[in-house]
Amino acid sequence: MESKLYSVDEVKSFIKQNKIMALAGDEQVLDQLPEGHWIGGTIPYFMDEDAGKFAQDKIFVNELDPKSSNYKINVYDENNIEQIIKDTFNNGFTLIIMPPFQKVHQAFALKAEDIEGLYNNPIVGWIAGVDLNADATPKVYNGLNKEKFEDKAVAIHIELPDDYFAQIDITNIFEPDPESPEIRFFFDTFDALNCLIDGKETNLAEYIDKHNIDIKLPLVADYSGAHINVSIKEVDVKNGLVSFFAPVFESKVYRFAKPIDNYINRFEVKTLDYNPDNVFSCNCILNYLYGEFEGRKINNIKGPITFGEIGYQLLNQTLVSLIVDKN
Amino acid sequence: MKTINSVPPKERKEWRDLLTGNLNIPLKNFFFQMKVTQAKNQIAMGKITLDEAIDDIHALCKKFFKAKNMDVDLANIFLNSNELTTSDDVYGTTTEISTESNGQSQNENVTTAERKKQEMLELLKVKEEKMRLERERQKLQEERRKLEAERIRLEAEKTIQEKLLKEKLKLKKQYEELKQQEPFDKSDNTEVIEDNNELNEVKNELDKLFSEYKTEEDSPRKRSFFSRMFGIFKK
Repeated sequence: MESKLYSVDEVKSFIKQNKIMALAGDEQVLDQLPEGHWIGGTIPYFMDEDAGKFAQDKIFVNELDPKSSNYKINVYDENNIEQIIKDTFNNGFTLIIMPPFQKVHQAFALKAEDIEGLYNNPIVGWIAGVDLNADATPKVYNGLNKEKFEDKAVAIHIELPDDYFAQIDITNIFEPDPESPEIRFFFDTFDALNCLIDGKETNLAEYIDKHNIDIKLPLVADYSGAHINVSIKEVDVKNGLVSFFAPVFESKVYRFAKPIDNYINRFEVKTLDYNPDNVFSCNCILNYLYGEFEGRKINNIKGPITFGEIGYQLLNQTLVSLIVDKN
Repeated sequence: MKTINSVPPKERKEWRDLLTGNLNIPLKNFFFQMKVTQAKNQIAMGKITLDEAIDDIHALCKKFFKAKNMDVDLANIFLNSNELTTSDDVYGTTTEISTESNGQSQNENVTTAERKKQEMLELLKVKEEKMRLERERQKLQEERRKLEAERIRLEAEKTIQEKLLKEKLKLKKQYEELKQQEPFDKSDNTEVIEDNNELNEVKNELDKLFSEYKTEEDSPRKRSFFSRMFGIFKK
């Protein structure tokens, strides 16, 4: 089945066919679905087969691989999120959907790297969201019993046959600016007052304000060649506070991202080798907004537009894909 | 582009180099990038040993050997390592509309959000202050260690100087005593002359004894030489 937006009736028929799926849509459409082998999360922004779009009457469907032989769905909160690896199969992958800025989201983001066996199988996922102009709360769903949560995460663990394996690929248009100072933080946090900028203790909000740093550009850390973004949520100069969409870590060195002339063009270039046959893919709402993706088709990118992406860890301003291949 | 057909054995030195930072190669495979970063971090923090990290990463590289660019990364490490060296508040809206939006006025939401923010700010300030104080404490401890080392050094120096001063005073005293004994006034040197006569007598007696000692075979007399010498000096 092709990954794309479907009508509620079409999705209902997939559920009747016992398809194992990850669904993304507005709360009012997800509420209409019957019980079945699915998990879901709220979001009304998508990259569909023809263009980026806002849709509250359709549901984006990712069939979680017809080769899958077994699956299980689990619900997690901040107290048991570290158990997630123990619930995985020996060979397979996990797709998790979380509500934003709830304790489970923060616990996973801060502790992921310490979870034993985190890299044994790919974990992908996304952070649920809502219409930015509406008064609503993001939700996640366990389709097995149609439970709906706003403070818990739902994950589906998929088992793959031995001759298959899953892998994650990411696309990040940002790279550290070589002219940026080195930024280090005193502890792992979503919010920071002071930090070390080129070794000198400095208030980050004041620094950003004084140097007119464009906060559409994330902080970027180098993970052995992977550029991992931490997007800036808010700079509160009055209180000297900078808030982030993902945590910054004490053990990492950050730099401001190199400025980009043409956001969408950069994205097009970076996704030339994007594999449209992936099992799952999602992209960040900040890319969608800053790059003005609505009404635009970018190569063959498809999937929900999310309030945070997960590729082993919580990522920002990143396109995440899960691919299943034969060994 | 070089590639590799299988995962090299874990005994290869390059694994250690990769995880200890001796070999800094920008990797291409996402799993490998993240795993190596995590392993380095955990080794640095003492959470796992280098050998455990190698075992783990080696097994996972085997599992994901067919993943995109894994062969290229391994080739770069194992076939080429000498050449390669080191290389609008979108979410904020959701915060404000989070759990308290049911039936409450926007003002109440704003107030709640503002209150939560202030609480968070306070907590953060306390945490940062705690961290700052901890850094200050460590700095002071370091200063204290340095001062203690300096104090010990100065104390040792003082002891040496005191000893030298005592020696100097002793010598000065001896010098003063000797100076007082000097027969500067030739008209009043009777005592000195008497002393000299006495010394000459002792010297003569010693010379006599010593010549006897040199010529005589082992005898009770010779054996009593030292006791007689002692007697002379005592006198």
